[in-house]
Amino acid sequence: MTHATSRSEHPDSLYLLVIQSTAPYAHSHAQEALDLVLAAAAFDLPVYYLLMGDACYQLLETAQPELNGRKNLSKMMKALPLYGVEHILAEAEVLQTMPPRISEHLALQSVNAAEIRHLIRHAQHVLRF
Amino acid sequence: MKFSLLVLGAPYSSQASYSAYRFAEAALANGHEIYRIFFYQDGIHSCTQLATPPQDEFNLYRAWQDLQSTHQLDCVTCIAAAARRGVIDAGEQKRHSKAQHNLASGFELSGLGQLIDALGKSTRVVSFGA
Repeated sequence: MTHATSRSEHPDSLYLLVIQSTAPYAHSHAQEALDLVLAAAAFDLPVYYLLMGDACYQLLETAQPELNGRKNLSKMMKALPLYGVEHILAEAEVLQTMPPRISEHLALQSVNAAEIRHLIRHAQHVLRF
Repeated sequence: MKFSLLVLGAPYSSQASYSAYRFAEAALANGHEIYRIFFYQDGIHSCTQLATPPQDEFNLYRAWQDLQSTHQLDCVTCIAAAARRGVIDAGEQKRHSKAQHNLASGFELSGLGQLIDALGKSTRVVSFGA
């Protein structure tokens, strides 16, 4: 895992930060946050996608949401880099407590509280789900 | 200042839509510009023409329509989020072979690109209901 870059290292002077902090399959927040991230990438808007708290469980490859009639988001997560979403971040404190996840298929960046503050402070827009 | 609003919460079951309405009203009264109001997630329920609150309650649906009409606001509803929740216009009614359509006048179904556009062209985007 790598750490988020500092502001001086950000290649994108203007970027959208999408923060998801809700569990992936409890409601539609995750799916619609992902839709927004993909739309931003499709319109060439630099986007940082940050998973915090329960949203980090979206990284679990063992989830079986189909059993609850929900679409499995892991394929969408793995496809993000193909759509130009280069910055997928997750809260370091939560990752440390989690079982194996899908990070080997993602260029996942682990970010601590100070780095999250930095990302929020310098984003052009922050949208939270 | 040029604002856009993102409405994410359902009317009545959350405060989001009413707060957004009051924000838009106050911003316009104070000389600010509203570039776009985008309804997403459960916020799309503000855009139905079928909801009918009791007569002794504030009619938020009518209030949105009046505000849109008075100021010619660009009120856009995410088409995927709306169709998923049963708010469609005549075009979607035909496309999905449904018996009715229920998008209120003054609102338009469109894609998330409209939100991305608003992010680029507004001084501030304020979200309600996250």
